[in-house]
Amino acid sequence: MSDLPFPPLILASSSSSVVSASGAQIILYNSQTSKIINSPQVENKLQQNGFIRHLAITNDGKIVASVGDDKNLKVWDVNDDELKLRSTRGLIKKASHISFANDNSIIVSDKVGDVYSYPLDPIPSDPSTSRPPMYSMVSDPTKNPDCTYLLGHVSVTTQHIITPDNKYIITADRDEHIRISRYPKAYVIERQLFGHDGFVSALHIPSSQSNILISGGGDPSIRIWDWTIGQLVNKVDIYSAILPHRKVRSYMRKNKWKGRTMKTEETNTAIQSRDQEEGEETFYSAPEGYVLPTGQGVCIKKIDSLQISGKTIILFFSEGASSIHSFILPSDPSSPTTVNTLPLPYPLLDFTALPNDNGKILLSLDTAWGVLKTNPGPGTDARQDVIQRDELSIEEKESFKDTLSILEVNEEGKFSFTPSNDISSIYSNLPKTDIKTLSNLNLYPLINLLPRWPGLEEDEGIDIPQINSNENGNIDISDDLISLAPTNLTTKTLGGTIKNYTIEELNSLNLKVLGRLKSNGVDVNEILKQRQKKSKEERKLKLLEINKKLKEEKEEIETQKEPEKKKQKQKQKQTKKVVILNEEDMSNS
Amino acid sequence: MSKRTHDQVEEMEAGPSTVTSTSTSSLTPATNGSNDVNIGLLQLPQKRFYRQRAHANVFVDHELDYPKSPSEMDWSYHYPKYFTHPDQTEPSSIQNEKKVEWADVGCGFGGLLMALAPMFPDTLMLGMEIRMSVTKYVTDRIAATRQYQSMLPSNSTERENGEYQNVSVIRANAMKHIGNFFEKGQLSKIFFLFPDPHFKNRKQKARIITPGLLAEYAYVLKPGGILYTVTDVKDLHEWMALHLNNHPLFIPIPNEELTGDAILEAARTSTEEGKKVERNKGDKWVACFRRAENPED
Repeated sequence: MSDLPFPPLILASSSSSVVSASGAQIILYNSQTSKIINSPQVENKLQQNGFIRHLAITNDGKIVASVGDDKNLKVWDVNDDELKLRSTRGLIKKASHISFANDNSIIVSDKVGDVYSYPLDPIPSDPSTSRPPMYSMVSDPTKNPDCTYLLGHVSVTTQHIITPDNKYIITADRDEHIRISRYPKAYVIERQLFGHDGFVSALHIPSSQSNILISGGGDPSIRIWDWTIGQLVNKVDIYSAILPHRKVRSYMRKNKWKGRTMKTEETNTAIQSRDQEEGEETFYSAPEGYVLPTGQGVCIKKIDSLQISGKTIILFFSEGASSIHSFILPSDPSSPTTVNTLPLPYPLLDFTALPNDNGKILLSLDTAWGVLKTNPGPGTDARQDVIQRDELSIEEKESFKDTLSILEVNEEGKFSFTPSNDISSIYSNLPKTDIKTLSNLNLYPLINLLPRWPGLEEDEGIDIPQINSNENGNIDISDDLISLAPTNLTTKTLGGTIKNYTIEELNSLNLKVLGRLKSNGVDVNEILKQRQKKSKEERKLKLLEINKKLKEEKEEIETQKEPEKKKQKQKQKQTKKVVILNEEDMSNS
Repeated sequence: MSKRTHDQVEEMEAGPSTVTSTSTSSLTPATNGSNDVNIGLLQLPQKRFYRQRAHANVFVDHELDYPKSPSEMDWSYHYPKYFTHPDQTEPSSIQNEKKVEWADVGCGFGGLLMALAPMFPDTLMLGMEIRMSVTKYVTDRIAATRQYQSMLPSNSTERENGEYQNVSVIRANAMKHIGNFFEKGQLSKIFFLFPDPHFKNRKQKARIITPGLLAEYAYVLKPGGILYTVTDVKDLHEWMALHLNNHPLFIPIPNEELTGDAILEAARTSTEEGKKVERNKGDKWVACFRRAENPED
């Protein structure tokens, strides 16, 4: 029964239209003519294979670019009655963000950190030169003939933005970097903005103050910078606004401590019931033996701005949270500002400003959350748990109509719901699918991809025992202190470690640790010599054993060979006898 | 890693491994006869206790410590002679005017740094290494050498310029975080000696010289600064030279200009890898580039 709509995952606006991508279909709504224009229909399987993850539209609303799960960059012309496919190009790696530059070239950031500029129309391929093989384009991104290589980060490039003066491109990545490079000569890095504690996943430059950059990610606060001089201007705390409304969280990983996994005895149901009792505080906690990524599950997915009555209202939301937030950007950006929050009935997928409709924004909600999908429990690698349903009740199907909603924002940044007729026409054009497909759609990739996982470093592999300090010393032996960094202590005084080791302690340490303590001035020669003697003797014993075994084996083989030799001799005698007999025969006859 | 014979092991056990010179007796630690003072003299570390496999995944999150920005880096931990710790009250005479000028990316066991430090005692140089064990080895080596130097009488022939106070090492992922340690245009030299070749096609993105990373290296290197690459793998040399030549901010330095340069000589011969290549009679390829000025627009 294919009667449930694909939710619109992405919304974007031009000066005259709103475009949404739902499944593999693009639906454009022209707000002036109230007309709906669709991209060609595709069947259900292709809806999933080509599921559109990124969308961009030029400001004049005439060209649309989309990238799907099939890694195809498709460029569409907006005609009067249809969206016509203009070109298709394959990307090397999955895209993480796309946008149009002023000259209508498409800037693509991908998941390995590279940023490319694709011309609007594909470069006609030179028949004399062949296209380089895929592996060489992966290893050397400058070899891609379809596009120009702009710049590269060493981790996922989450978003990019070209500054309004068209002279710089600002890119953000998972390693807390915000980089400002020249554009189009992006090989010159102009400056970097430092300060984020976690990944940066959203960037925005408001049109009213073009020297201001607003950035957000997994941090407790959104940062406001003057990017032209590289200075932090303000921080806006957001955890208190977002944390109560988190709905979707990432999967859990087993807590592997030095190769041994911790076993948990609690069952799945026990954990969930305990969560419900204790409420929000345990939303982001993992049971014994499992870990969740750092950052409380906050991931700012989009920052946008509206101009209402001369004021700049900044809007943002966190992926997987069922809320939308706003704050006023004061004309002096360093003055404090407060965050307004509107709770929503479902997790928010995307929002965009309606053109020519001052203060109205269109939202897309994931109405299947809680009905068909829920958070994964421990012990599974799946990104979400499917709630098995065969049929949906009539009320539940009705609630799917809330997928698209319109909010009005006033000049203080406060939200209110407004009904509108426009969206019903968009809604009726959404492609339809069945329960099974909907419940398996993963619409929250960033909360799994971007945060860091605590304590998953593979150490050198040795178990360095934790020897605590005794009465004399006050140094706790941990791996770091076994080696002394050059400090004042070692240069001015003559001492290394000021610690007494007893012989029992030293005996319990392994050879590697002893060797390092030796270089730190601890006298371990005796113990090393003893161990050496031991290992010498052990080696001797081993050699003796091996020699014994070899001898035994040799003897066995020889004894086996002897009866064989005897047999061979007998055979030879027999053949000789036969031969002699024959000769005798011949001589006789 | 070659397996040492039994005899070699015995030799090593007898005393500390010496790198620079001769007398071993002065570095033996005070034995537990003197119980009151409990001073332990540092010894030069032995590599066999610090072995780690050569390849480390650069893209993975190691538990690395890096400053949030270059201005927040506490260099007093590394160069106590030149920087005072924020907590200490006694100010030193040279206060926070010096900056690290030379960086050895992937310094390994510290051969280049130990060779260059006495030759240029007024230049601060930093080694960056991603492997934990190897960084600890270099740390212990520097600590022991500094202590030894400070204990020498002032007329000793073993005294080296600068007493190795101008060299240090840090465990860092230079590909990800070099911009966190150094300001724009801070470095005047950067060394990439015998880097991991990453032969496989799908691993070539992890090479230390890639088109994307060259922008970062150009950012921390001042215009006129020099980037040195030495390798014994011809394919890697061609790759590095190709990308550096293609990059508009790097100008190749012809080899004739650099013959006789003591720094280049140290880069070619004083590292562990360099010595290994010589033992195996391999070839070494050198490519050096100068950082150009930023384009006008």
